[in-house]
Amino acid sequence: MRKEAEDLAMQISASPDGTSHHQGQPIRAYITIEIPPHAALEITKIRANSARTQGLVLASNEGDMAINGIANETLTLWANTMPDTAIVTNPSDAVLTVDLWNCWYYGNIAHAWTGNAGIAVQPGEDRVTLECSDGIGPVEFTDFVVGLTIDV
Amino acid sequence: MEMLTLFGLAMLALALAAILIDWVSRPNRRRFVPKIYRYPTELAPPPDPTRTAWSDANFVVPDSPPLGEPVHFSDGTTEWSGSAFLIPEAPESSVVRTMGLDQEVVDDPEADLAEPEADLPEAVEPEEPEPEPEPELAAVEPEEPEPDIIEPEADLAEPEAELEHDEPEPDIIEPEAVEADLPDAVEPEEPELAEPEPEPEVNVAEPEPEPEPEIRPVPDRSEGWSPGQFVFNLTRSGGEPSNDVVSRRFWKNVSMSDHRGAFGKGNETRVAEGKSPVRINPRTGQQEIMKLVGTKFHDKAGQPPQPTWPGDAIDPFGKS
Repeated sequence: MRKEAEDLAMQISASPDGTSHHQGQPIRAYITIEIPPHAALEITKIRANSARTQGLVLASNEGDMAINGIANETLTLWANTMPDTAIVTNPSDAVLTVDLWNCWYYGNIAHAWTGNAGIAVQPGEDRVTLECSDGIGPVEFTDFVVGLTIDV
Repeated sequence: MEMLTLFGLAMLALALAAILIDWVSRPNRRRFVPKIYRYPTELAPPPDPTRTAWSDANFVVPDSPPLGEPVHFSDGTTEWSGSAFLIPEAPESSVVRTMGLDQEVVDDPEADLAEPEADLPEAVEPEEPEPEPEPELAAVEPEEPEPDIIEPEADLAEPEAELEHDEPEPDIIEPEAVEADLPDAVEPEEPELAEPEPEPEVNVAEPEPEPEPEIRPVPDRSEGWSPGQFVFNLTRSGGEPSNDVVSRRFWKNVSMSDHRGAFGKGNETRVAEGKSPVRINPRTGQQEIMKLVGTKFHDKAGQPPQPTWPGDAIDPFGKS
């Protein structure tokens, strides 16, 4: 399935639907979720590769998100500074569409969407788990694992 | 026409009725007098031709009084507003000057000069007590809370130190390592500084002096450049390298380092050629190119340029 000459991020960007496959499961560069009005997105840190600081970027498409007293359209939660569970709220009266993707620090640079970066989504009953492979080294979907729960 | 006549008669009748009511309601049937002059003793005073410009007399300007004296009017009244302001000789006491009471001291400067030293302490009492409690507070507060502050730092230093061991990447951990080292440097100084005044403790609490020596000196630049050398080296002709030249040198150096694979396979060739890495932003489908910040030698005192990907995300928990 995967070309040896290309890394995962290149495969994903080359695919028309933005999805590649690794060991039979779909891999995306980012995922999109919708937060209902005045609802909260609960992000639980499950596992993080300690060799490189892992992060999760949240980028709203049309409005600010609020977390820890800060409201902005784009936020980065770093594994070494975020609490075990971070709560992002949608303060608006409209549904907030938010894109999420993995980022990481390497060589004092925040990277994303390069190398073997990709996200595998594991849906659950009441929460979705994102298994992220950062762009350094081989594909490993254990580099950063977070759980997402929406509290309405 | 009849209607008009009737209307006129009605109006006339109303006017007469109003006049009658008005006449009946006035108590003394006297001439109307404005309220402020109701009583004979309060009738409007006759105009004083010497003071008004619109009276029959010519406008008269009173003679200017001598310095420090009020204006004396013909009716025996005096007014200070028309007199020239007299600035007294400033007393020699610096205390009085600082209080801004020069004008008040004018009448009897010598007496005030004698008293200030005795009176000022009372007047300055609010100022004197301030310095007094300060040393008390300084002696008490820094001693009590600082151990509280330092202790958590020491507590925090341990997990940070643990994190350091867990995270081998040096670039990210460097600042944490400095923070982790600081409590160790502070703790032994605490007992020495607990007894003296708090000022030295303040100095101890400043972690900045230690990182400062870590700032690298501005490196020397030789002429010409080959891969692996300082990116800000002068050109072969001794000129300042342009931004493009510095960028090219930077990425060629990166291609020789352990970080050459950090940008993905597709960028290895580009980096080796001295070109900035690129990536596809999957949200926009657009190609993004990595930027170099600080491609001028003097931008950061000769420190290497810093590559960054486009983006302006905020770390809500304070560290990025």
